[in-house]
Amino acid sequence: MAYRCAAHKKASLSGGSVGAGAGGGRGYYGGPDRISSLPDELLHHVLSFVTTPEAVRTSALSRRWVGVWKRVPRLHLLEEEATKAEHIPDHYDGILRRYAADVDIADLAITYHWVWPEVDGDRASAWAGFAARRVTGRFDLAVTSQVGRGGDDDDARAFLDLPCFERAT
Amino acid sequence: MAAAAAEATIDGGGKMIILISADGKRFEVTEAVASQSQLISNMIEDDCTENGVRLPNVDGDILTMVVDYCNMHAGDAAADGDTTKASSTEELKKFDAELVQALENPVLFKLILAANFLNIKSLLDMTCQRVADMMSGKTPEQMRETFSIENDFTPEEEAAIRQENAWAFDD
Repeated sequence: MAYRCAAHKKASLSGGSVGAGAGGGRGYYGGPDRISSLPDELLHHVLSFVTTPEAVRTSALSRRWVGVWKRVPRLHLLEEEATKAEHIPDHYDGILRRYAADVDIADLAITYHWVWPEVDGDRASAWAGFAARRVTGRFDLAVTSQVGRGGDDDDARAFLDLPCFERAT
Repeated sequence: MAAAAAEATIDGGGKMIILISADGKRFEVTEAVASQSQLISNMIEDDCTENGVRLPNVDGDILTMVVDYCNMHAGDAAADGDTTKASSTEELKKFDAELVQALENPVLFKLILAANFLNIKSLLDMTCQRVADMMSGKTPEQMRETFSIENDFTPEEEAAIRQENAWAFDD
């Protein structure tokens, strides 16, 4: 029994609600900048409560923060939250490219409802493919076609081949 | 956690255990209250709590807040199906709202670390949400000011970061 207790204490010092090592005991009482001293796992948890653009904006705070957003398990690329009006899908591609390659995404959403030609079937397929490889939880993709807007061009109608989501729930 | 709470109810209030903060303050709480901490819940299951639970990472003033929180929320976990719950839910909401509103640097961050160490998910979520609310809608400059973050970029580096992720910035 004593052995099990000892094992527990050991686990408790390095364990925590959010990821291993998050509860570590040193350093965080020193210095006025307390948020930057939080373990990465806790920063990811905090940033899962803000919008993705807000999370990405933290990359400009200091060197400590450059890569933090790239491991937040919630990634929502929503058109209405973008600050730029132009080439939003290109920005989305950049965000997906820079997001950490070894992180599983629990919650991915991509929406885009403006100028259809920027999001053709290939682009939408690429997003879905990214999601199929990386998402372990939930994936929402909402892309609106502007079919009919520029005449009766049936070629503008795209069909999306959905890849197999082996990991999503 | 639910099992521990049920057991405590059958015992008529449950066994008491002692929590000991980093600075030696002692808190006597029921197992049902303490087991909202997943860490302590595991220790209770393993019969590791007889001599008190030492929490070397948590100061007495923070542990006071944690114990208050767990006392308030103990009924929450134990009283499933209780018809009196509606009013206590209102009380709980008020208690949580007041607690979280009162939290500022540095107590807020100490409480986050304590909630994480003790593994109390609802308290961790609530405190992290509070930090998120403090960040929300702010420019990087405003966030730095809010949290006393030092900008250690060169102007060129900062410009490059903003350029790279232009989608997220207003400028």
